[in-house]
Amino acid sequence: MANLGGKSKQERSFDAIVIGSGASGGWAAKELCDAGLKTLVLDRGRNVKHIEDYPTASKAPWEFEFRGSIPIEQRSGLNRVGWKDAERVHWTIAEDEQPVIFEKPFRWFRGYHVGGKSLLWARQTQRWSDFDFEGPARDGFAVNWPIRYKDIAPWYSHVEKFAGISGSNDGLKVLPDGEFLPAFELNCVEKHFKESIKKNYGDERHLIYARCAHITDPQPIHIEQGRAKCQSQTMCNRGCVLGGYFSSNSSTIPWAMKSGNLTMRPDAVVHSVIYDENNGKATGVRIIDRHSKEMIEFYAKIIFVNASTINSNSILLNSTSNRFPNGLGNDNGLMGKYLTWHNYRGKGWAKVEGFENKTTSGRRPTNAYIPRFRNVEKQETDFLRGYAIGISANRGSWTEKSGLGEELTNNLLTPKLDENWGIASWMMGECVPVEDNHMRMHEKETDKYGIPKIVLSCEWKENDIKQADDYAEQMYAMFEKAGYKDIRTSNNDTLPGSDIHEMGGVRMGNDPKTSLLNKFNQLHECKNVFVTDGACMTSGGTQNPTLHFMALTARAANYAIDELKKGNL
Amino acid sequence: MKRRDALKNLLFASGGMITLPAWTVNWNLNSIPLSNNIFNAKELRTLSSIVDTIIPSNGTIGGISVGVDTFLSGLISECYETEIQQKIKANLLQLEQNSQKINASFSDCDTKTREKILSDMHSKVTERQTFFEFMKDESIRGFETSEEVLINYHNYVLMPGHYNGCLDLEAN
Repeated sequence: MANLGGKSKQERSFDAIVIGSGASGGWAAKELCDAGLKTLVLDRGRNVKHIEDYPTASKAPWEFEFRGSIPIEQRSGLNRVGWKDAERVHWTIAEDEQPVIFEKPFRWFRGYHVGGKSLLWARQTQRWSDFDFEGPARDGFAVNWPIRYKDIAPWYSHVEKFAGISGSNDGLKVLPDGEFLPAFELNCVEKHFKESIKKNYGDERHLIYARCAHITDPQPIHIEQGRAKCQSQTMCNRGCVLGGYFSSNSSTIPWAMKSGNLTMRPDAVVHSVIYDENNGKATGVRIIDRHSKEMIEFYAKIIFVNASTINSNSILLNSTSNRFPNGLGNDNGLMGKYLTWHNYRGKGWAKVEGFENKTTSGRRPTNAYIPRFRNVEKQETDFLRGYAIGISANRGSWTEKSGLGEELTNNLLTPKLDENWGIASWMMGECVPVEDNHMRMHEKETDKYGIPKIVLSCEWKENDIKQADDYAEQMYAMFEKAGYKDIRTSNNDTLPGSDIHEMGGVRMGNDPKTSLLNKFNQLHECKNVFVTDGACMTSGGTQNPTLHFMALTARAANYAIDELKKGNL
Repeated sequence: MKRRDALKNLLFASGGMITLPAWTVNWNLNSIPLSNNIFNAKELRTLSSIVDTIIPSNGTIGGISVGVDTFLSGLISECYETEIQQKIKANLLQLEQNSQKINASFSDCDTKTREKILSDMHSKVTERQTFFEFMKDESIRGFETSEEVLINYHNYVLMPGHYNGCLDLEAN
C-alpha cells in the first residue's frame, strides 16, 4: 500500500495531473491552469528554474575554466548518450538513472529535469499539412489519422502566437503558413540556391527560411511572459536568460505558476497510473520519490501523460490492473508497437565558388529548409513517403597553426576567411512505422526504483535505406545544378534515434481495435487519461515534431476542460 | 559588469521583471576559483616556459599574458586521466633533463634552444599526440579562447543581436 507522503489525501488531490514538464507537458499545464484547474505537474528530474538554473547561459568561451573540457569528476558516471560538452553537460543523466535494454542499437536522448528537452530542442517549428495526415490512409501503413489539418490549424496558431515563431509565409501547400514574427534572413549563398532550385524544379521543390521558436519582435503576449527578443547568441541549449527561444521553463511553466493553480513536483519518478475498476476511470498517479524512494499517490480527475514518447509508453504499460493486465488501455496489445522516428541517415556538403567578396555578420539560430517534395501528390518512387532537407550555407574562418614562436603568435591573431563558402545539407525523412519496431517492459529486471526495465527493439527498415539513397542522389543533383563543387552526399548507417524524435506506441486512431487513443488523445478505454506527447503519433511526418505535440496538447487540454465542465469525465 | 547591465536593460525593455542570478555578477576570470593542481612549483615554471616557447609575446600579447599556463595546469589537473597526467609529468622532467645536458634549466635557455628541445619531445602522451603536439594543441586552444584574443583579434561578440547574411567584404 502506498504511503501517504506526509500529506493528507486531500493535500494530494488535484483537478488534473500532468506527467512530464517538457514542451507538451508545459502546454497541458498552461491550458489547464488558465482554465482554473488545480494542476499538479510531475517531473522525474530536478527542478530547473528559468534563468536561475542555467549555470552556463550567456557565458563567453573564456569564462569556462577548462575551455570546453569537462573535469573527470563531473563527467564520470554519466550516461553514454547525452550532452557531452561543458556548456550542456548538466543536462546529461547519470548512467544508473534508468538502465535500458537495447535489443538493437538505438540512441535514446533523455532530458530528465523540469523543462525536459524543451530546453534542448532544435526549435524548428514547421507545420504539418494534409499530405502528412493523409499518408497512412493513402499509402496503406499504420492506421488512418483521426484528424486532419483543419482540426489542428487553429491550435497551431494558438501555440505559435504564444511561443513566438520566427518565419516567413511561403504559400506552399506542403507546408502551411502560420503566425509568424519576422524571419532572420537567408544568406547570399542560400538565396542563390533558392533561385537555382526554382529555376530547375519550378513548383515542385522550394527552399525556404526554416521557421523557428525565436522571438524576433516581442509582442505583448511575450513581454507578459517576461521574455525578450532573441539576441542571436546561439547558445540556446544552455538555457536562455532572455527567454529568446521557447522552452517550458521560460514560457508555459512560469505562466501557469502565475495563475496560482500550478503545483510543481520535481524528483517524482512516475511508477504507474492508478485505475479504479469500479468507476472505470483513472484516479491518480503513483510516484516514487527520486531521493527517498518512497511511493506516494496523487489523485486527480484527469491525467495528462506527457513523459516523452518512450516513458509515456512505459508508464502506461506498467499501469496494470485486473481490467488492464497488459497496461492501461492496452486491450488490443498494440501499445509500445509501431514506434517511429525520423530518417537522419542522409548528409551532404558542397563547395560554393563565387561570393568571394561576401561574408556574414552576427549569428542565426536557424537555417534554410526544403520541404518534402517526394511522393507528395501521389506515389512516384519505389519507396514510401519522402523527406525534408535542412540547408545551411556558411563561410568559416581559420587561423594558420603551423610553426612555433612569434610567427605562430601572430598567425593565431590573424583569422582568415575561408576561400570559399560551403553549403551543408541534412535529411529528415518520414520513417514508416512498423509493428516490429517496438518497446516493452522487461519481465524480470527492474531499475533502482523497482520499475521494470524498458526493452527497446528498433531498427532501420528497407524503406528508410532506399529513401536515404534517394536523398543522396537528389541532393547531389540539386547541388550540381546550382554549380557547386566537391559535392559529397551520403547515406550513413547512423544509429536510429539520433534525431531525438521518437514517436508512437500509443497511437491515435478512430478504431479502438487498431489504436489506443481517440481523436482527442483520450485512451479509448479510459477516457480521463490523455496522451499528447510523441507517443500519440500515428505516423511521423517529416517535420521536427515538437510544434505538433504542443498543438495537439493544447487542443486536447481544452477538450478535457470542456468535458469536465459537462460532467463527462 | 557591462554584460550584466546589457542583459538587464534588455529584460527591462521587454517588460520582464526578472532578477538575474548571482552568477551573472561574476563574469570575469579572476573570480573563477583556481582548480586543483597536480604540479609542483618547478613543473609549473617549466609549463610556463613551454607556453612562452610555443606562443611568445609579440610585444603586445602572448600565451603567458592571457593566462594559457594557468589554463594548462588546471586543464591537465582536472580533465585528464591519471595515466596521461603521469606521462606529462614524466615528459616535463625529461624536458628539464634534456635542457640540463645542453645548458641549464629549460626556462633559462634561449628561444631557439627551447624550440629545438620542445619540438624533439616525440613520446606519445595521448593516443594521437606526442608531448610536443599535446602542449601545442592545448596552448593554442587556451590562447584562441582567451578574452583578449577573441575580443580584440577574432571579432567575437557574445550577443550579436543580429544576423546579416550578405555583407560586402569591402565594406568591412
